[in-house]
Amino acid sequence: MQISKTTLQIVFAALALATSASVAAVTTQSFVLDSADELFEGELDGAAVHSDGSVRVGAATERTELENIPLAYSLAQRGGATFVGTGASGVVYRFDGKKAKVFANTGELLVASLAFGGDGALYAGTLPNGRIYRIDPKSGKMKRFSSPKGAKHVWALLYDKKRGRLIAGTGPEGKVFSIDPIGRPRVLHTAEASHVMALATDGKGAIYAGTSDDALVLRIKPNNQAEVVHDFPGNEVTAIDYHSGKLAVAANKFKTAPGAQFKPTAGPGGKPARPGTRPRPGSGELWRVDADGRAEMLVSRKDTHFTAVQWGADGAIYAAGGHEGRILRVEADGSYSIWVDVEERQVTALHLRAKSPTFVTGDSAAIYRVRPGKPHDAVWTSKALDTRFASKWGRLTWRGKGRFVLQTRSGNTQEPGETWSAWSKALKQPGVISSPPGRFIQVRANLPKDDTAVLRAVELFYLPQNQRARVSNIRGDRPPPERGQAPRRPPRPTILLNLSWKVDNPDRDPLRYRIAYREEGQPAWRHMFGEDTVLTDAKYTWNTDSIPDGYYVVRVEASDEESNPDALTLRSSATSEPIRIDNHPPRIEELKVRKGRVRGRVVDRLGPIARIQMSVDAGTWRDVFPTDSLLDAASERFDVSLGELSNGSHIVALRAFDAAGNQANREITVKTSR
Amino acid sequence: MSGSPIYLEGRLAGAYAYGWSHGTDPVVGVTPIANMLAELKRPVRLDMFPGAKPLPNRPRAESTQRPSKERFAGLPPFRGEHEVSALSTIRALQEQRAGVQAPVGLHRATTPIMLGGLDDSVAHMLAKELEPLGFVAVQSSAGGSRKGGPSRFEPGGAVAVELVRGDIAMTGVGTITYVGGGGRTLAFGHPMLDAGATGLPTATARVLHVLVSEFRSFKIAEAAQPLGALVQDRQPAIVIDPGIEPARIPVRVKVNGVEGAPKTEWRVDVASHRVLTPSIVFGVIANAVKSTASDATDVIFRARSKVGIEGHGLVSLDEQGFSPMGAASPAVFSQLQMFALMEAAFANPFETSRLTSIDLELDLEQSREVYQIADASVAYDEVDPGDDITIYVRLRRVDQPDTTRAVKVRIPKAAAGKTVRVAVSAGNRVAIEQPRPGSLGDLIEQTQRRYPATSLVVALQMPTRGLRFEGHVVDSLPPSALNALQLVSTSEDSRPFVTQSRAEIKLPQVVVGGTNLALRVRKVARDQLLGE
Repeated sequence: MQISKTTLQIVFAALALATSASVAAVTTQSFVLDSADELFEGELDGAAVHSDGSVRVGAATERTELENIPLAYSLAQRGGATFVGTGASGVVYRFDGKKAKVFANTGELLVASLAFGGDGALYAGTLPNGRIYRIDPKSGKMKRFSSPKGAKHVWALLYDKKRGRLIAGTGPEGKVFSIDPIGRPRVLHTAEASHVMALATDGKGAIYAGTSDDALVLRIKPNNQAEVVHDFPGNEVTAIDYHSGKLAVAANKFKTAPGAQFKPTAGPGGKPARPGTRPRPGSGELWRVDADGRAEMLVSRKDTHFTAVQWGADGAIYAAGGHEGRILRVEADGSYSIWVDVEERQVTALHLRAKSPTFVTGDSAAIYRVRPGKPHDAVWTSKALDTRFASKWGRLTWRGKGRFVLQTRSGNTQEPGETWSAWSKALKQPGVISSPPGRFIQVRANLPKDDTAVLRAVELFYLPQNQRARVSNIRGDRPPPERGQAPRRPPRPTILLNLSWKVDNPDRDPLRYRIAYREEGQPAWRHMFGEDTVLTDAKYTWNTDSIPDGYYVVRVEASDEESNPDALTLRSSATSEPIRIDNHPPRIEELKVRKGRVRGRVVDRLGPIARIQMSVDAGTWRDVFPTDSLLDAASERFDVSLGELSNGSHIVALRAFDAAGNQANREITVKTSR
Repeated sequence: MSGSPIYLEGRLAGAYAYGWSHGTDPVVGVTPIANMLAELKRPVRLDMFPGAKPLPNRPRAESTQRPSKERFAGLPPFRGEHEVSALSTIRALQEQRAGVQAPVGLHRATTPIMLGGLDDSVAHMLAKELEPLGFVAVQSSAGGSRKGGPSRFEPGGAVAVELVRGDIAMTGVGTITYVGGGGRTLAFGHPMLDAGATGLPTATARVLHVLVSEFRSFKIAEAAQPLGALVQDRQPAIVIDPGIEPARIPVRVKVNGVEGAPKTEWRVDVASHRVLTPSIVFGVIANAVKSTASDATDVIFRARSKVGIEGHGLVSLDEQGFSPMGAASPAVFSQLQMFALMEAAFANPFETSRLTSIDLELDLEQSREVYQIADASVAYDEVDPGDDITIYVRLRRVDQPDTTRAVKVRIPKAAAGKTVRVAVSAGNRVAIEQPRPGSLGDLIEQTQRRYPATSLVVALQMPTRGLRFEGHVVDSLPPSALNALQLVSTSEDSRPFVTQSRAEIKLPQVVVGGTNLALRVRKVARDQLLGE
């Protein structure tokens, strides 16, 4: 499909704020991916997405999997060795840059914290028994070092050179312990909160502690007095890092996780245990607290909480996410980029200021080394873009600086899989997409190894297949009673019939309706209005004044010709159930008065007769029952007593209604004498 | 009787096995002999029947390479994730079978189970449990050993599947259709439990009487001489191998504390089967208690059991309980933890194991000396976060003034602004969060790790969650750690549980009943608000 440059630019401008196919017509549409949120939704491999809505070359990483380990949670480095604390069997791994080997097995559930002590030994804080182990960093020989009273979880460990003590942040009693070289713990501070999740030191005797379930950062001064540095929004300070007089703080907010009292199931036939469902992440904020105590929020994300935070040597803050395995790099001005995106669910610990920058992940466990230089391949891949219907693809264009190579693939499932096409031939210049038609499409951009290369927008044109509108549920209703007028029976007669119908218009393109009718037993359709009338609303008021009484079928045709060329126009029609048209009143025939009784017959073409009433001498109208007592036919006889009448002349008036409310009147004069 | 050989023109055609309900014509359903003979070709290995021994006349050497899954009896393996009672497995099997519809009108001939030496109510209870599985329980001669009778299987003769022998007898009876090479015998013409390879003990049997009924006639029979094992329980027939001596579980039940009881000790040998054994052992216990102390009066009991589990020795349990309807109300004994041990031995997915013995000493005391939890209260229903508060639990004893116990609990700070619940209950009603077991040893240990019935437990529901792992339970998790530990990369159940903070008070007598309290926790402690 050829689209002129002018047209393309107009469409580009019109859709600059939308990536979804929201335009209500089957015309050329496009996905424009140019905002940070849209680009964040993609997958990154060596590429970085910036909050200004651009994609650049990111960090090069090297992954080492910890086989059969679901969770790496803590990290410590010394010399060329990296030590990783894991769950769910409490093993510490030693990683030499190439291979990871089991180094020590605590037998606990999780090694939640690792730190080197003043004696050069590696200390491992664990849960669920709140034990701290001392591990020889050379031999891996391990022994239980300390079990602080009341602690079930040792979330954080650090060695405080000033005090010459190992400091432990614990839960669930919110205690910070100072542990002497032979493992004797002393409570340094008991927080109001339940857990001390994170510790940092300024190296001068002040210890910073982040707490949960109050999101506080406390400063424990060298004299062991504690003060609140800042009370953050949310319910957990999960991570803090101190560098050059400033604190970086990850403050998170979580909703209470679902849970029930532990109770075994009823019996062996009970429902099997449910496999793990993906826990809902919290929301996270990244804060900077300056030396003067000023706290400033740099980043707020609703889609992820932060699990770890660290200052980089370059002054940027790196924050690890608890959702989709991402690390954010946050600049001093609050702009940020998704610096790394890994396959694992969470990045759990960072060690990026080290000589060998490293981070570890959970679900499942892996160790990542950040390599110097640029990645061999830097690729940004969009999410699967949904056109809602099978679509033909147009051009793929992009805006940016650098020599990018773009590819597409398409399919008909939400998740790309085996049924999708292969990645298309690379496009080095904007051009026509060669992927086969489909409902979903993905685009990926290979970035050049060039620090200055920046991809700012990608636009992808498509023409969705025209979809037929479906008409259903055609109804013919009388106008509702006028305001203030109580519904009455029989209804007030009217020649106007409100027709309405339902329309299922999947692609929401403008529709035109044509209406025809025929009497129930007749084959020929008659148009209700001419071609010069363009009906676009799914309703019509039909004037039935000139229509003979009877039952009529109405046909409504929907056509999308207003927004499609003739060859692509689709029509559909539906017919109503028979609708009754009754504009003529019944007749009162054979009206006679004999022996004090009024007799006669009410006849209607369609029937049934709805009501017969009589009034004597303009008195009150009284209902008259037919001779068989039932008003169920088009012809009803009546025979009713006049009752006691005084001598003289009397006027007996009768009126009758049919089911449509049409009314007939007659009167007769009666003379009585005694 | 089902399994009766049907001959056509002098040749064995099959076995009588099916009938039509309320049919007036003498028409029966016959299982073709060809289908039955095919079952003889199935391999029979000793390792399918833990504890079984080959008899000297057994013709072939047996492989012992593969542990069998048949011990699960068609039910899921047991990992300690559900509560176990004596009737859990039989009811699970009933439920499973309930969904299987037989063709209209045609019914498998039922297998009569002869019950001997059982109290009527216990026989009725067992009959009710066995009937959905295709058995018809019939009270028969008393239990005890029998001598004489046939010494080998013969076509047309009776065969007994001995579920229990000794002071009590439970015997499934049918007819032998065919005896093949090596004495391998086909009987019934239909399955007994449709359990595949089982190792139920069999015996020759003698018919005592033919009971003619317009609804369904059957023979009253009794086991004669033990011979072989039911090795295949399949759709066309059961197969008996006379060269195998199956495992039997010696069970002893001793009832103490009932003066003048004519009999206080029962000894039986019970067949080894995941579904049948627990319900049979329960029947034995119920029968022993019913025969000894049928009084419908309040009873406190102490059950000291020793359950032999191969590879794990004798596992001891000491439980106490109270039955306001008397010891003769059997439901109270169906909840004994020994049944969980039995289920662990039969159905754990970790190792092939088996029950080797069951020994139960039941001390009964006709007494109402229990602590009834009357109510629980606090001074204020609105409390401060972080406060230590006292829960007052009023305990009631018959003919004695109420007593009150005070239990201190700490209101978690994390509960600020929320409502916390306090549950006061008898120790044996508390489900303790257990790690996911990784071995049979873990399962056994978990069975033993419970609060005793003589404990009063006050549990405060915390606003935090915990998780179970193999070998570990972790509670009071902060949300980020809970999120990290709810692993989706494993197939294990990662549903969090609500953390409970519990306090236990040990009492000299059994505790019964329970109550709950709801406490509103202030958002901010009053002292803090007042600046004190």
